[in-house]
Amino acid sequence: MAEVSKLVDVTRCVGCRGCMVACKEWYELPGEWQQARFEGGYESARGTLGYHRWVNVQFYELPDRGQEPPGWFFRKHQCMHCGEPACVAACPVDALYPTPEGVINLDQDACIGCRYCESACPFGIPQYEPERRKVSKCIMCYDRILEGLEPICVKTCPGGALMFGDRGRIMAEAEARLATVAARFPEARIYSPAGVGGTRSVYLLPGPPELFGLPVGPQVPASVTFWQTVAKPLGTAAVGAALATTAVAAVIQRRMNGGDKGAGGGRGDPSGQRDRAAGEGE
Amino acid sequence: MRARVSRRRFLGLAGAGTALAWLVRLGYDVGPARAQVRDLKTAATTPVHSICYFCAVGCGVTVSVRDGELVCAEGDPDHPISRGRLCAKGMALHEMQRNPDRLTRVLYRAPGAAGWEERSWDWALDRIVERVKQTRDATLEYKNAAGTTVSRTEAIASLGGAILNNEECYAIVKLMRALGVLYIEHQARI
Amino acid sequence: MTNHWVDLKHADVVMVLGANPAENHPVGFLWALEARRRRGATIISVDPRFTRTSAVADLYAPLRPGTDIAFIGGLIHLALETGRFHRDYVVNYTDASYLVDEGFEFRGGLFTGYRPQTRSYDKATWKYQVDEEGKLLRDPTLGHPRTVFQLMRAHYRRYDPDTVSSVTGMPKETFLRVADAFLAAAAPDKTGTIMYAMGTTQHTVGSQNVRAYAMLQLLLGNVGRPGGGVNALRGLSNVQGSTDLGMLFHTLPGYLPTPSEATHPDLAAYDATTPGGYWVNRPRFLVSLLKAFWGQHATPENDFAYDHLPKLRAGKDYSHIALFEDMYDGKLRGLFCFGQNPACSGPNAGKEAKALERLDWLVSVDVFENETAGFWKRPGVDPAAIKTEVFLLPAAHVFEKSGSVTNSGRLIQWRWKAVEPPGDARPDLWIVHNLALRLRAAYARSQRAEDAPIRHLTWDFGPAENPDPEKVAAEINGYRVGTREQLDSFGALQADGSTAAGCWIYTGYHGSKGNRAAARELDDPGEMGNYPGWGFAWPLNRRVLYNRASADPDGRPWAPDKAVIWWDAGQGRWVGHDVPDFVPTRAPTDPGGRSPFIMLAEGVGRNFAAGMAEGPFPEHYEPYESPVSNALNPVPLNPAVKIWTGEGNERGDASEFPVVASTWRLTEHQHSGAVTRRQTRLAELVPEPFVELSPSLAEARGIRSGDWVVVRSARGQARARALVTPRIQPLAVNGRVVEQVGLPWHWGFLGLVTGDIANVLTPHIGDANTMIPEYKAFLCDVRRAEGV
Repeated sequence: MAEVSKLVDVTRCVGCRGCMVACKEWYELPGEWQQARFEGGYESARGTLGYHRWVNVQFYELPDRGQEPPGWFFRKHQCMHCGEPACVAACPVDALYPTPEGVINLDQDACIGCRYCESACPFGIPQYEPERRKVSKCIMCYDRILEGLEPICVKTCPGGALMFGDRGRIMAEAEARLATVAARFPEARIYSPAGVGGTRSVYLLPGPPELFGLPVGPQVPASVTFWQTVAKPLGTAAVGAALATTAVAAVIQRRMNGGDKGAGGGRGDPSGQRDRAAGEGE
Repeated sequence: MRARVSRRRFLGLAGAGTALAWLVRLGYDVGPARAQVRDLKTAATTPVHSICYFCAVGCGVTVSVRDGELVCAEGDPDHPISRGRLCAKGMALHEMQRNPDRLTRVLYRAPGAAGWEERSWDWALDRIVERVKQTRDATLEYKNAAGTTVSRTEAIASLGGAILNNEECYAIVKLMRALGVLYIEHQARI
Repeated sequence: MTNHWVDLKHADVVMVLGANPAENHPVGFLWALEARRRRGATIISVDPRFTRTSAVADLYAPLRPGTDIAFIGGLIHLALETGRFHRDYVVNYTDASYLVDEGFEFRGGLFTGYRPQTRSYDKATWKYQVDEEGKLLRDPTLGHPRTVFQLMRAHYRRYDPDTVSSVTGMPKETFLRVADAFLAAAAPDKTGTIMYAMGTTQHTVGSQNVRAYAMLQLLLGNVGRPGGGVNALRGLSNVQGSTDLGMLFHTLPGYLPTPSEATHPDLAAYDATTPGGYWVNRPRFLVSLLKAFWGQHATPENDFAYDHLPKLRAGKDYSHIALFEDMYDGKLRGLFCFGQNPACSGPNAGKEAKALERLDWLVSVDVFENETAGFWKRPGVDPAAIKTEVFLLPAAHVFEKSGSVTNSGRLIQWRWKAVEPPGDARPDLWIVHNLALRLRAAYARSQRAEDAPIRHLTWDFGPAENPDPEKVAAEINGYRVGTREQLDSFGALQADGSTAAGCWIYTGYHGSKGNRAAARELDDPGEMGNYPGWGFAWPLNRRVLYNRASADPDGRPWAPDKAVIWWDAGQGRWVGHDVPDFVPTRAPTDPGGRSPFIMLAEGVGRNFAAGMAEGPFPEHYEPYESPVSNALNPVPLNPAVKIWTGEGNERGDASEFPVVASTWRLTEHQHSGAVTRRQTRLAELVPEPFVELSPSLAEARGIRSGDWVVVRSARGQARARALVTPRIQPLAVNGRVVEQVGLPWHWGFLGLVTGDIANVLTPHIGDANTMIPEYKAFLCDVRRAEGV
């Protein structure tokens, strides 16, 4: 099967959040209403992902960009499905793995809850659940893809913001759409950053990525590459030893101490302004 | 009515993806990756056609049923207006159906009571009929002062209907008008 | 909708005002986006708040709540003064060339004939001029000073761009840009559509708002054409069908007027009030309805049981507000609520909840317990003091029953039962069916004449345990009495008792070919998006209403890419991609062959509408509660609205309540939230009530985003979270700055997520014609909540 991709066209999203509920319907994920509270904006849980929330639509008010009408944009946040997936490299038990189609799949049964992937991901995607000691994330509806169906979010999207298919076709569509929106959004661009090997979730953004909570030049952390090439081959039995001796240990230690939240996407800072122009926080 | 599931094979067969190539380059052995991909949840289900409960766009909904249980409710890809799409509310139809908060028993609250009691349909229908008849008989105005037959009661009202089926709306209207009810209103006014 | 959802793709310009379809009709709105993608259509969003629709629009124009007529009047003014109207269409298909009575005038904010004591008009001069033979006088040059056209020009001369800007708060440059974009649809080969919803109708001038849109669309030649029309986006899945089927006090199924003791004491009197146009057939529709209701007991001798229908008390209003005012005054004893929750969704909801306490009994049928069923345990009341007997009946979910629903585009679609209801839950049809059977039995031995309507009620919908919706559908559709032959057209209905039909406009949906609501054919003739084989659109499967107007007077399409029907001289009939909304064999040269608006006696679109309560032309009046005086005329409030006084109907004043408030809905919740607040996945999306306010108001009140605030009106107060956003801005109105806020009203005290009921703020005052409450413009104040 060919390499696939999903286009997320921020210039077309109407912010209805059908994708969020569709994802939960398909994967039988409960709504996390017990913790939900209004945080000063439309987003749920400040736009962050959760163990049961693999997709979240982030709302960006950008009134001062000189556009007419003033900007209010909606970015569907989910796994980027990197070409060089740091999470896969970091995973000591191969619970995360790339499929031949380029989807980064997650075998939750195999996950040991070590959270290396969480630290490694430059987009803040994997979500850890302490009781289950597992992570979760979007798997691009791999079960549907194998049956020739598009991901449920793409299927349900009313605004035509989401599109799924062969990567070549998706990249061509992204280019074509970029040309048509150039007049409305002179700073529009395609986002599939090379530092992580390109992403199977491809954005068409109306402006620079930092305005939409995305890292400008995400890279696979050097520590992860080291882990991948040197330490990981020692095998899972040596995880403890590896932790003591590799840079990954330092990464994890920092996270445990509350720092190093990862670049974009993770909007967990409870003191931050809501709906701010991105780039000023996190 | 049952529909056939339309499977659209849009993915061609071609070489491995970039991610795979990168991992192979790094000496990663993709073989042991356990492909614990679950079966399609709508496999071996019977699709039934419905229309969304919420707004008046009238989007098509495909309801997948297995052994009398609802498995999934998603957009109907054949529907000419919605083409398989549903918004956040439409995608919540399944949860609404199997919601543990649903009313599944007839509930009765006696005058002044602080809570509900469960009752049978038989009891409730008879009691409602008794109350309706009592009220109607006590308040029915058959002829007005001018001698015109007016057949009305201004003591009973009926509200609602905008989320019911047409046939249900008609049945309500027919019964209410026959009872002499003039206060018939619903969400179209508000 | 005069048109339908898919038809939006033909528009060259889409004006959304009084609606927010990207949020409230996201899937339907994709067709407006499709128009932009395919045709480069311009999407205009006119709204007090910058909404999710505004976010994807090409043009956003802010508007103070309650000033639509000033805005549209300004567009009409520009259209007429700059010649940007579709002249051929206007001359041939509208009343613009008709002469109006010499005595008619507009002065001092009032039309001729105002009677202040009754707040109503004597409409004697609101009429066209006729010659001795009763023929309408016309001037097709439109130059005569008494033409509707010239009177309209004179009327809207006051609505110049500066005045419009000053009244609406819309910057003048923005107004002119919107005008340029929308008036471009006057070109014969272009069409523009107006999408509206409750932002339009929920005003004291709601009907005239819609009228103003219709006039503008007639002037631009946009009615009856693909990508055009005046399109009401209805909010609930079957609010169109429930309205079609007569669930409002003033109509029987099929928009037949409810008999009134004053004007319709008997059948002959009812028929004597029959209007012209296609309505001349009304007696056939009423008798067929009576036959459906009372079958063999409806005979020529007893006027087909006409007297079995209840008659309205002369001059009495039975609409929602009046109903609750009467309930509050103790005049009602029992209430049925089928999936409606007025304790949250009613205007002045605090008063309406209190009114429920005065009922002897309440029957609520719902899928979840809602705040109306549970009104006796609402915060702050003692259940012991409330003597109402309450029945809460468990209803089946939409997937647990079969039946049809009618969407906004009049499309009737069938939905099939998929699973059994849980426990004792039953379809509403089952519940009504069993009540009807038991009531009929309870009256079976009565000899009283007044009980005949129940005793004789035809109720052939199947066994008690299993009523068949298809049997009901067959009766709604209509059949020939005796043979039970199902009919395919209301043209076959008769006034002699030989036919029965529950709702004439639905005839054909369940006719001789079976259940056409269930049809799922995807043929699309001409790729117009009409899909005539999918479901059934009333009337007679016509997809675009008034589609005769899609062709020029000679019967040729105005534009090749917007062809719906056209005259085929060879075949001697109208042909095309839709069912003609016209006599199919009436040639353009025949009498009436150029009169597309077949429901009206004059056959043309009305710019001058004498049927309206407050005047033949829409005129701007301020909302019931307004911070400013009327800058366009000396009359502050619609002079024809009924003002409700008495307990609980306090009117707010700008000195105490300086902020303009409007209410609205979110995509994530539905109406009162009784259903959506029960779903974990939707509760997660928007868990708590909030109010949107501008950064300047927030600063003035010391409010930060996320703070709890109290919104107060003259009638009540509601706590909500603050959402401070530049998307809502103060407006410059009559030289001063007016702050505004907007709040959705999806919350109540039951459910997974709860919150204060915002409708305790809204007033009991309604439109002069429809009595639709003014939810969308009232005065309030906003303060930080203390102690939280």
